[in-house]
Amino acid sequence: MKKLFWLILMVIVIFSAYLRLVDLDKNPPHLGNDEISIAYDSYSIRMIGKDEHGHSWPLSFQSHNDYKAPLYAYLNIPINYILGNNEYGVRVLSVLASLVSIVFIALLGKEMGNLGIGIVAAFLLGLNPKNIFASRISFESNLAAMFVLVGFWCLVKLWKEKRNIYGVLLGLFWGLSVWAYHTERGLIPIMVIVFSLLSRKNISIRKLVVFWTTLLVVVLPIFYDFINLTLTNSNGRANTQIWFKGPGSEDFYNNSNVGLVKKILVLVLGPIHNYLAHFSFDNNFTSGTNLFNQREPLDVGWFLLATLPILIVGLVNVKNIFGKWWKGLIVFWLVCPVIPALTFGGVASVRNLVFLFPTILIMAGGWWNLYKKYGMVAKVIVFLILINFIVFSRAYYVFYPITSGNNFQYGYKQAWEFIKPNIDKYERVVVEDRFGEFGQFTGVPHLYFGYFGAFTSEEMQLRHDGGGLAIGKYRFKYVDWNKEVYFPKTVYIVSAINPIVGHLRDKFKEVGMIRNTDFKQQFLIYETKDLDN
Amino acid sequence: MIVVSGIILGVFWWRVGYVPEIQWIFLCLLLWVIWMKWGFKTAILVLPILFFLNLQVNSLFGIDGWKMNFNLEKINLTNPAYFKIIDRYRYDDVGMPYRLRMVFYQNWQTVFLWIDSTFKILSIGHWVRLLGFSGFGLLILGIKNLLNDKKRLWLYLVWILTVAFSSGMVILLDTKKAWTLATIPIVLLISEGVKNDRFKKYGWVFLLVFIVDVILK
Repeated sequence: MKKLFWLILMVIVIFSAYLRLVDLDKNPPHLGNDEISIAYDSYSIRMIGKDEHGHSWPLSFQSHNDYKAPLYAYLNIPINYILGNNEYGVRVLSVLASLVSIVFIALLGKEMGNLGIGIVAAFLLGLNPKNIFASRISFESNLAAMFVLVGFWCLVKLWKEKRNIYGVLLGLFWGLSVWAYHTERGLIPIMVIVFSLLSRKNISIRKLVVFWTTLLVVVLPIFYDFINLTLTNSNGRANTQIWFKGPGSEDFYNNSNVGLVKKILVLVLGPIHNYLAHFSFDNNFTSGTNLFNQREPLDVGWFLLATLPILIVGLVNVKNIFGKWWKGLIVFWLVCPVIPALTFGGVASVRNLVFLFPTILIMAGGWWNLYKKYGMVAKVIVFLILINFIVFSRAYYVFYPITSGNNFQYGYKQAWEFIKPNIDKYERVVVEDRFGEFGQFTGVPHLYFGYFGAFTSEEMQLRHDGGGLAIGKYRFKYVDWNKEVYFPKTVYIVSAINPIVGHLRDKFKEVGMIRNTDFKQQFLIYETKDLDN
Repeated sequence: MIVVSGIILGVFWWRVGYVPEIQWIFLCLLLWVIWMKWGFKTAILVLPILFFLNLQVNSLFGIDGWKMNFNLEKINLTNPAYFKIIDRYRYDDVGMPYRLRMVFYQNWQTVFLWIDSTFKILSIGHWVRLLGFSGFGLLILGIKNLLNDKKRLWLYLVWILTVAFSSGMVILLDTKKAWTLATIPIVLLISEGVKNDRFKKYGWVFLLVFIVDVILK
């Protein structure tokens, strides 16, 4: 039976790996804002031991002044070394984290229920829309979620087998999750308190002390750095993402005419509304993944719609299915959204990836329960899940890469590849940092150019303000044609809404155009006419 | 109990600020009496009428003489903009065999949008916006209380779900109108909640939460 378990699990993992690796460089169509920052920092650390901003081996990556957690960038170094500076060189780690999660959710299902629940849980996570979506992007939260899950498995083993090694591993993995993403800096302390209380009758205090000590040793440096940053830097993560600093909040608190009591209540109740939204049907089953920029029929929730019945069955029968583990599982499920609820924009984001695991375990239990009582109904649900997955796969693998170009700053890599063959003949390269149909977005082209090889990490360190961000012969800035000064042997890459006008028009010619994934014009490329000679 | 639940509902209807026209109240009452008296046997009659009545309240449907009018642009299932998106799917998904595409990418896919809207109004956040935290708490206690009388509970829930699926047809939902026709079962569930022992024991907590809800209006 155990052999069969491992065999089926292996098949699920291989199929899940295929779903996560296929066209990984094309879908999502371009490295996104945070991805390119992690990718560049990882590469830069590998090359010169400094991040983009010149910090040596930092505990928080300054990145876009959001001070990212460091673990993803560091763990990515060997992958970047092996696979090089491309999409795979930063996304594969997230895929691996997802695959490890699939293995451990199966093991957790096996420990808390039985082999069947474990397999069903792995199957559901393998086909889960949110997990597929998150694992194909280099999200630190995906890595952190994996560590939380592995730690949770260690907790169950510690409860069952009472061996100190599981206490040490639990402390280590939950500690590493704190190194991997900001949400876990709040979530792990809550989980430690809650699960220590829940386990007090089953795990001796001595074993808990081993776990607490390991955790403390692992997290101490990162917490020290986090507190230091929060106190000294107003741009620190905790200072910018908290719900009462969300867009419009400050204006409401300072300028609104409503009374003080109401202001305080709105302030206090904001996270409660956020928290409840994590359990809403629409976010969970119909539109929470927000694949498209507008409301579309093929949008999906965090879970496939066909899994709703088994979640309900699982919740109703959770006591019978999971026996003594039911309390722990429900607490896990309820605790996960607490920290994301304290941030603004939490519901639509990936801050709550851990939430997938307890939900899927409950679903797996629900399916198993149904299978035991009404086998035919359970089989019909599997059929519906597969149909539902096919619908999702068309949305994600076919339409998402077409409609999501702007979400990933599409075009900078392509622009670099366009000018790369002639790069030696240019003495000056000007790249506009705005993009989008109306030029409404601001990008980070210097990171794309740096990562894909336009200049070295050492040159990046010498960047300065020279009429825009100046790195060697490159200038990254907003281009106002009327104020531009003519330089010979220059190439311009500008937003498509900013075609050349004014006094420079006769001196430049259009040599290329980069189209967005939806085939709308994204960038125009001009070079000086003197290059023809 | 009836007084307490009446006050709560009165205040929340004031929050919502919508008074339905009198004819809907009478029609709804009539349907409710039939529904509660003869139960699920009358489902084939009561539920479709309730469904269409709710569409009428939400300005999606009207009868003019013998002619029925639907406000197609405001309905999830028939909005032309969504049909255009589905057309785009059909033309863009060149990886799928042509015949399959012609079957798969059809207007039936707007059903997903209908379900999405319905789920939105069935979500906890929406209930809290509608009834406040105290009202929502009482509603849950009411459902818990009625677990002993499952038939009555199902009659209430099926009524509420019919109204939810009908209101889910609306693209831009008006919270005021979405639940108008579900007022009766909601009132009754809340009054059931008032009977619950927990309410009797922790009534002061509900009072505090109720005050918070009123302040937040």
